[in-house]
Amino acid sequence: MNPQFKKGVLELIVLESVRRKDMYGYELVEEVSEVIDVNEGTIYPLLKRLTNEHYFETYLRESSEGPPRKYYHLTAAGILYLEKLTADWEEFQARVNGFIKGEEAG
Amino acid sequence: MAVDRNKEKFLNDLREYLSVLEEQEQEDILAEYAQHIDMKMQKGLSEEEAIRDFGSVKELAAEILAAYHVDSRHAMSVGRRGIWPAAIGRNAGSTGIQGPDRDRGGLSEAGGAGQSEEKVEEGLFQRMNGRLHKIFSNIVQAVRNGFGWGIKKCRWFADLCARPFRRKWGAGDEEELAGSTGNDVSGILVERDCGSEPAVQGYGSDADGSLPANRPEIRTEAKEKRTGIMGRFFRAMGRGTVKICKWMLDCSIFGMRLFWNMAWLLFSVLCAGVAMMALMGIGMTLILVCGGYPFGGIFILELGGMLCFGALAAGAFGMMIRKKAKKDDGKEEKSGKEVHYEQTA
Repeated sequence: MNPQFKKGVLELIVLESVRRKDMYGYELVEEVSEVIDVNEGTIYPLLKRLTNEHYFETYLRESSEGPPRKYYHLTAAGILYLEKLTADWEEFQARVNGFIKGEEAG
Repeated sequence: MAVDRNKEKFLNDLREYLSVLEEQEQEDILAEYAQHIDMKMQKGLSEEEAIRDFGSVKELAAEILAAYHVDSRHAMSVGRRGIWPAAIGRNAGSTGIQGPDRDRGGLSEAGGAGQSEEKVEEGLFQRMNGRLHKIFSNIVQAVRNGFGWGIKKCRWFADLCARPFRRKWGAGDEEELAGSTGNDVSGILVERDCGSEPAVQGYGSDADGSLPANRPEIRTEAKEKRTGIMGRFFRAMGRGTVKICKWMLDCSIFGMRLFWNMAWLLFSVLCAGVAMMALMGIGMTLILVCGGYPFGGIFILELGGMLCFGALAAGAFGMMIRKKAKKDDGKEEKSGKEVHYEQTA
């Protein structure tokens, strides 16, 4: 997939993943990797940025497999932001699809 | 053992790149990456493989810093000098995603054999930047030589204008310089959203009481800027204007106070005169009353008038502003403070 496409939607996928369920970093990386092929290291800076911008909040939860894990939870601001991103994405892909299909028909 | 060193090295390298961030933030980030590596190892990957998936440490650090709105080009001036290549910050937001379309190790090591097109372009820009800098430096030098005489004359004129205020300049400069070494030089590094916590250490606040290594340079530059000819000239003009305004304000205050005092003095003298006349009338009326004349009512009227105008005269006299009294108060306050300081010392 084109890296530029992936860059644009990565934030949306991360936000949507955390909206469905609170996740810790590694779990989130695996979840995102199922959708798009990304460098694992890039997810953490994105998580950090979204946390700094108060779209995520974090909490620690004990784990039976090792040290406590930091879970990410979507805040109210994050939900609003996700809704906006989703609307933008739908509009964008509808326009692009419409354009491409129009081109093919023509 | 070699495997252990890899993880340790990765985390140490990352820590060095992130040294501009607060210690707590560094620990937070490193803990997440360490945990990620551990989890991958639990799934059967070797440590080396787990680390390799992160790609270049430099790129990774640049992305993390970009998440804090820190430009990695400036990070080199704060962290360990030399670890940041000059160009990495330009790609901070664009090199993150990696897939089959992208070479994972392409930008990993500066000066490595496999340079990408981006690096070639950057080199070109750097060379162009160097040439432009040289051209501008030559122009500036020529201008300086050509207008040296004019600059000297301007400096002489500025000195002449500033001579009356020179003694105050020195103190002012020092005060301004002392003020400038506080918080106002910090803005170059961080652009931060209002909700975020401060994350860059050593800038903006000197919580640990130590200045960063480049502060003296900033201080010197600030001083040089302030001691420019035009700067000095305009500052002299500004100080002169302020001084004239202050003098005019003092004159106005003095005139108003003089007018106020004269008005109340006049009123007080008039009231006192009426009170004195009433007192004389009381004396005369008292004699007549003692002589059997029925002037009891007039006597009471004069007595009331005397008391009333006497009180008005005293009140009007009290409304006058007495500078001397204020000075005395100030002296008392000052001496009181001195006593207090001595006691506390």
